[in-house]
Amino acid sequence: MEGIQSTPPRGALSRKKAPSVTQRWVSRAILATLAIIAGGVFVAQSRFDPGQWQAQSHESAPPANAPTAEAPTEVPGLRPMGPPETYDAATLSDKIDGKAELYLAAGFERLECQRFALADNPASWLERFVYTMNAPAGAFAVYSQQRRPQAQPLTLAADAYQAANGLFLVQGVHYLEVIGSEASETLQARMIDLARTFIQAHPVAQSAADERALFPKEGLAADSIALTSANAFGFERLDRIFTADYAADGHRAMAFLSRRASAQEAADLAGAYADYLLTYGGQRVQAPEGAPPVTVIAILDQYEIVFQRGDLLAGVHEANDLAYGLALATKLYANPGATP
Amino acid sequence: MKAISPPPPADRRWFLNRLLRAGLGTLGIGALGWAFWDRRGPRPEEEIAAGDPLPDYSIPDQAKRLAVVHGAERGANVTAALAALGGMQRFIRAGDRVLLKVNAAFAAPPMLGATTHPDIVSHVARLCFQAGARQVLVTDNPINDPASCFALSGIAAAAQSAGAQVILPEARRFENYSLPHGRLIRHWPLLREPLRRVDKVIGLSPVKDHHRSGASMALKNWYGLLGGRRNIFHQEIHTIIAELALLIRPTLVILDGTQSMIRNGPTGGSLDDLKPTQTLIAGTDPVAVDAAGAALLDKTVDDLPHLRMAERLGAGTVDYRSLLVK
Repeated sequence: MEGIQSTPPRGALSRKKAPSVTQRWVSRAILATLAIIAGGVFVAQSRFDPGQWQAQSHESAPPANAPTAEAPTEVPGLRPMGPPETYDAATLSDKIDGKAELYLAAGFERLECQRFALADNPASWLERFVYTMNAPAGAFAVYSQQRRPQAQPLTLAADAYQAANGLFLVQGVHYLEVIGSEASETLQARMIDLARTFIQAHPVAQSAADERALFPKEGLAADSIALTSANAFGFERLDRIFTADYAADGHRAMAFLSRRASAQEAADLAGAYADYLLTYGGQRVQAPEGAPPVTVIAILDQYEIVFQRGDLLAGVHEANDLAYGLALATKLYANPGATP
Repeated sequence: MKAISPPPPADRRWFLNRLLRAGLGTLGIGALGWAFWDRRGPRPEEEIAAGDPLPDYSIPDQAKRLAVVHGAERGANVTAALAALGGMQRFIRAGDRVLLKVNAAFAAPPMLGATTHPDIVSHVARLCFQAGARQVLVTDNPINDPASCFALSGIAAAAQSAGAQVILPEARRFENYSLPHGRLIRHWPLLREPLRRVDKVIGLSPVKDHHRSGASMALKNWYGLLGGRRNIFHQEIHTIIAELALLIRPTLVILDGTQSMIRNGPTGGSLDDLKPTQTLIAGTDPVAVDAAGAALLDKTVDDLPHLRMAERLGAGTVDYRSLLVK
């Protein structure tokens, strides 16, 4: 039939234009490059080890957040040894290992630290740690939990002290540590300069009085007021508990106070703590007539006293004498700080 | 540019030629796939661990023993403790390659007691060489930047002064490892390469309070052989320390309580955190050494649950008194 071609003409399959010499060489070059890449991938994958990769990715990871100049880096007489390092809640343990839990429980938000050497003696250096918490109470908690008993109080801030090789203070939501490489007067002077510069850069308004003002003054051990953020006295429901040590005439006890969200919450927590003590072998002791409405429990040759007044949970922990513990509890109860 | 050559005619020869090439290509690819084929597939972790376990670095013919000495000078304490145990030559033989696993966790000055004191490092390294060691390596995988930690803690200089070599924990030195019957150390990065290079392992650790575990001593020191996001183990801190006790069977451990960090550990930060306990404990049973060291922190074995856990795993005994040399 005319017009219909039943057999393709010779060479119809090769009608495409043949590649030029240049195209051939370019193609060969591309294929060679691909072969090299494939070879590289093969060699790399044959050495791949998830363990190494994991370690490398961790160790080479940049700090959690870019430095934000939380604290001034220009300090007279000091020369930065490197840029500031910053850590967040996920990376804090990369800097302070197991102590991170103390900060995390107290509302930690970020840490910025930086080392400085003395400008005229680079072998002497110090490191500044600025912990930023979510509230001033958190800063006081980590400060008070680590307070060194023999340290010298400083007037730089309401809560500040200096040890032989370090300086520690609370400024608003910040807990500042400055730790020196040696115990020297020169370094101590620079630490104070550093702290003063930091305080000036971070002014705080007059803070509202908290439970610390409610502890009776008589018999109170100096610098003993502390704030436990969580799991106080081993009871996981006791959080944000202020404590203070008392001693007199061979007797000793610890008073505690915590303002709760409501009177009902304070009452519930007081009951739960008493139940906890009874569960672990405590025995109820009848409070003497005329004593305030408190629960007294004897446990491990000591006395625990707990009560609620208004929105305050309060009590006495580990009193070695019942009368002394009750007297302290009575003073706490008489304190007018509770909000009904 | 060269002229384009005309396409070849599509005849029978052309067709067979193309068919042959295509067949050879297919065969080549098939052969390549065959060569890459892993007939066994990935092995279970237990099999990997069993096939390549860490060696036992302890000296098999020696009974577990422990020496406690007192004094304010670290070098003298080390010498006295080793003398009580029979001398370094009982542990190190001529030609041995020795790894000193230090605690260089923090970039902190030596006086804070947060890291192994450089005097201990240099003294022990010298004793190893005197006993005939061919090579002494010093390593740790610190919490902070490794180079800063080794430098600022004084450990690098101490090692160098004694002729020892510091091995930094570079990524290539880690291998995944599963502790046989371990629950936490499974397919976890381990600083294995330095361990492969030595015949003996000596642990050198300070005595420290630890916010999570209660204490950081000889057993906790092995934590510095782990890589990866090891902070997740803080949630099961006692279990991981007990497993570490099973992981490393050292030749010797030396626990330096000349100054002990009795509070605010493991970082400390103040000289007020230290107490001059003037004690050094050396022994071949790290569990017993830590049990003895607990008293330096005013703690008992009951305050440190990982000690009894390690004992139950067969890593040693908490009855350190039974191992004391007279």
